Amino acid sequence: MKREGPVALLMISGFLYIISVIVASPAMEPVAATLDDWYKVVVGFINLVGVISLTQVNGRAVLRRSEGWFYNAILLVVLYGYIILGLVGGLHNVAFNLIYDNILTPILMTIFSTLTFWIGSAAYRAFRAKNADAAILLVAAVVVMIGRVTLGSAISPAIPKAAEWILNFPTVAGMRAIEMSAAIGGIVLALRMITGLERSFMGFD
Amino acid sequence: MTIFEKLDSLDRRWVFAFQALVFCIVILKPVGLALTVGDQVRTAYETIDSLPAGSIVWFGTDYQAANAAELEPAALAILKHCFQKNLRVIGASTWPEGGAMMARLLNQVTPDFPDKEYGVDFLNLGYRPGGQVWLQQLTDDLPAAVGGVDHFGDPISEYPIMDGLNKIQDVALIVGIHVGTPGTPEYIRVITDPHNVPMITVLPAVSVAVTMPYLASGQLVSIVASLRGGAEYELISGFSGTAMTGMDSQSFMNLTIVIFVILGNIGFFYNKYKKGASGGGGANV
Repeated sequence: MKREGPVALLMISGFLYIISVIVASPAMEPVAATLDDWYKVVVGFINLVGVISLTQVNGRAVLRRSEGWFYNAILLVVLYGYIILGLVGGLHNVAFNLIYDNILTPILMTIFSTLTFWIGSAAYRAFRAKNADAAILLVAAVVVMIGRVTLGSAISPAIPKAAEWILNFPTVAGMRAIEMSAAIGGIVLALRMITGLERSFMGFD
Repeated sequence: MTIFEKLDSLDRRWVFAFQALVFCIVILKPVGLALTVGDQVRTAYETIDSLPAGSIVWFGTDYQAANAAELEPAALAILKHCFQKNLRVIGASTWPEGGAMMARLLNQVTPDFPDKEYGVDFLNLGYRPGGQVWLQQLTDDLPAAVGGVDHFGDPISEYPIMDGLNKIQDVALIVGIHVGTPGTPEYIRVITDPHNVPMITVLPAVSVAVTMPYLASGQLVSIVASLRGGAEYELISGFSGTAMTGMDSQSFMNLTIVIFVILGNIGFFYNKYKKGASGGGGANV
């Protein structure tokens, strides 16, 4: 039942949803609406699963006094402290919003912004004209990098135009192929999951 | 080891140090490179500018704080433009932090427009779970899909901005500020394409290539890309912000990366030539 139950649930809900879309009958609308609501509830619980997982992993580290357990403890204090702060007064809570706007947001913005240094280092190491393909990639990358900033037009009006051409034609052609392939792959995967052929996502072979 | 040999394998700390140095110099001494408004931003501006006063613009703030530095300048300039044109703005998000992001935008813009009133001229519906499924529900019954409450949990039925707004297709324009999934493709699949609602999307630079096919196919009105797009929108709208001041630093940071890429290739080819000349059979490339 541990195996068959989830597969049966998936098959029934999957086929019901497909039928509700294909038939588009008023009689099927409540079915689709109910499944939509179920989906939203399940998605809502993902956050709870995250909190439980964080508590288990970090709580274990604190209890065992693992290396750096102090940081695990800080994480748990902040996690539950902020949850409690949010529950008291909701989104009208001034302290909750102050912490988010003045601590969390600047930290996240700073961390993300420092990625530019890693991108610079990665580009320096990766972009080597080892063969013709790599050379084309390198030239295209350099043209787009310079053409998409103000420096490009200051050097030559042709550089932004070349960057636009790369984005509008080769990139669009390549991305269309990738996205269509991914979409077809997604349909096939969904059908395999609904028909019970694909079970690896549930931890089964 | 000669300097040419070293160029092939510089310690990454040199790259970091030069980038930091260039960044500091350009921030302290801006060059003032000329900025021109591109077709995409001009189209976005003209689309918003042509909307009749009172029209509702839907802000899909589907991003998180980490992306704010790159996307907020464009979002702020667009929001200011909407208020200037007396358009009404409703924000909502499929991302957990999206409600807070919309609140951040409004908190920065509303002091410049003291006559604008919450619930009358703008509204923040906040985050709702469900991603694409929730977007689909917005096309059937918007008040029900949001649970009848706004970002703060207050009932929306009392707000005049909700009068006559029963479905998302009742809005005049969608401005999607997107960084991932759910994002622009999900909006196109369930709202803009089936119900013919125009959409402008504000994207980080890394998402532009993935989204270009939707623009080429006419499924998007325009893409306002990254900090550059924000700077262009600030320029065309006259609402100066942080994007324009960041243009020089972005230019020279990119130039620094390009210079390091060139230096790395000089070192690579020098070493390859040297190995070949010394009878090593050439580099295995």
